[in-house]
Parts: sequence; C-alpha cells; structure tokens
Amino acid sequence: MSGDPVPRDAELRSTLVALSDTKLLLGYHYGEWTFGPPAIEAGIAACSMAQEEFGHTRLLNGILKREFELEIDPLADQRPPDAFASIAFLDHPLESWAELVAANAVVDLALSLLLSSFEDGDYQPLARAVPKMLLEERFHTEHAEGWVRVIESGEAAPRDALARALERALRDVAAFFGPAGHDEDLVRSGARTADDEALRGRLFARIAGLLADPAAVGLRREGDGWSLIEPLNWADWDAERRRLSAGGPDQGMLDELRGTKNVAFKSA
Amino acid sequence: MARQEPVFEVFARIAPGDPMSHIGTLNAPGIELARVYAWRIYDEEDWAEMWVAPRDAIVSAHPDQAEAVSTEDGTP
Repeated sequence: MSGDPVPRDAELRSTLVALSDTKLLLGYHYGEWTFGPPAIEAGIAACSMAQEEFGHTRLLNGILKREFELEIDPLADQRPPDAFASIAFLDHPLESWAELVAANAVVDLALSLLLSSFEDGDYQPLARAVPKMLLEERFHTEHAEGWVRVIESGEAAPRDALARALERALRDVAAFFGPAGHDEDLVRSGARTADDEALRGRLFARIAGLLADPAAVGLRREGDGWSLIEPLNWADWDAERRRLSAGGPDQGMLDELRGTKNVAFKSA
Repeated sequence: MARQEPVFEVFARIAPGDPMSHIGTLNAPGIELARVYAWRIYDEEDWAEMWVAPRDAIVSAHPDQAEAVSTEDGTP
C-alpha cells in the first residue's frame, strides 16, 4: 500500500525534518558514547561523529528556515517527543556498544543513502549541501563497518548482542523508508534520483554483505536482493514522522539536548 | 575486549613537498579502524596527507638495529 503521493514541497519539507531530527538524536547518542567504548580511540571517533551530526542538523535546519520558514533550532525547540520524525531506534539511551555500532552501521547509513539520493537531483538547496556531508559521513561508515567486522570475527556473546541490535535497527530503518511508492512524487519531479524502496534494498544488501549469517539479523535473500524475514505491517505507518510506532525520543534525552536543567544560566 | 590491540604509527605532512613527519601512534583492531582513528585523533592541522602503518610492518634500515621501530618515545 502506498496512499496518495503528497505534493513535492510537503514531501521535501517532511524529508528534511526527518533527516534533521534523526541526525540530532544520532549526534546525541554519539556524544553519549564519548566515554565508555571499548577503546579510547573509539570514544574520540564517537565524539567527532557527534559534532558532525550536530553540524548537519544545523545545516538542514538552515534550509528549513530559508526555504520553508520553519524554525526547529534544537536548543529552542520545544516540540513534544511524539512530534519528532526520528528513527525509533534512537528513542532511548543506547545501553551497549553493540547498540551504538548498530546505530552507526544502520541508522547513519540510512541517512547517508537518503542524502545521496538528492545529490544529483534538482532540489538545489540540498543538492549543494550533500557532497560535504557525505564526505564526512564516509568516515562514519568506515567506523561502523570496521566495528561490525571486529565483532563478527570475535566471541559469541558480543556477536549475538550485535545481531540483536542490528535486527532492531534494520526494522526501524525499514519503517523510516516507508511503504513502496510513498515518495514517488519526489522522485518523478526530479528532486531525487532513487526512491526509498531502492535505498532500503541497498541498505539491506550492504549490511548483509558484512555478516556471515544475515538471517541472524532478520534478513533473507529475495531474488537479487534482501528483505526482512518478517515483513512490516504498514497499516499504522505515519508518513509525516516516517515511523510505525507511536511515542518518540525519551523526554530526558530531549531535556539534556536542550539544556533544560541549566536554562537559568542562559543569558537574558 | 581485554586483548592487546595492534599499534599503528601515524605520519603526515601539512603541505605537499613538506617532510613527512611522525605525528603519533594509536591502537586499533585493524587497518580499517586505524585509518578512521588517525584522522579523528590527529586533526590539529589541515593535513595535506596522512598515512598509517602497522608498527610491526616498519623495519629498521640502521645496520646496528635488528628490532622493529623503537618504542623509546614512551608510546604504547
């Protein structure tokens, strides 16, 4: 099922919000893992990736402000959690390194694939911004894939933990890409050169290619590509928020992002 | 992850034609992550080039040295 395609401007706006919201939360989680990874070098990399995600959020918010007169400055923004269009995998603190690696490998890659579909499109505000973002994202992908390979070649317990986290991330990202055809207007109009269904297929193939047993993360071969062993039910898909589940990011996480506890120190 | 990870040496030059300098070391489980870590950790300059090499792949050319690269600078 796809529903009626929405007009180009509305689809562009909601895609930009989804990218910005997800990058904000991804940046939060990378920042959260500045301390605690299995190696100090990985903490430095996580901190650095956090800065880049926040930078991308700021850039995307600038486009939303200029092109759509929409202000979602994360520090001033007071939207409730259920107004965020972020990938559900990032709703709660990532409790283990396996979850951080899954976010890095699956969620970050999904955003890069979505951005890359605008690179050769005719929506200039984003097409111009994408190459620099993707240049930075290349290191995020290398970091993720490096860690997936390290864990895959290691002991059973970390490998199983990663498989569980990857499976959850893959389902949430599959939902983010939406039912087939929901974005056809944006592709047909020339803003994007690949639709979400194609991007979802590329993401599944990329992750499956890293793993000895893709079935362990809920993926199976289908024709030339990969699909979820247990398909998603699109009946409750929220097109604006690009997700199946209700709810949203943890209020505590949003309070930290906004500096709620320290608002008294803000200059008047 | 208590196992000792391999050591990598990091080299860079600021501008094309400058001498290549040894700028530091790092631990990483493999060359793929070593590349990422090197670029992230040693980002104090706008490097024109940066290279990483496994320490155990660097061999001495000095006739009196049989060991691999010295660790006397206190690095891991």
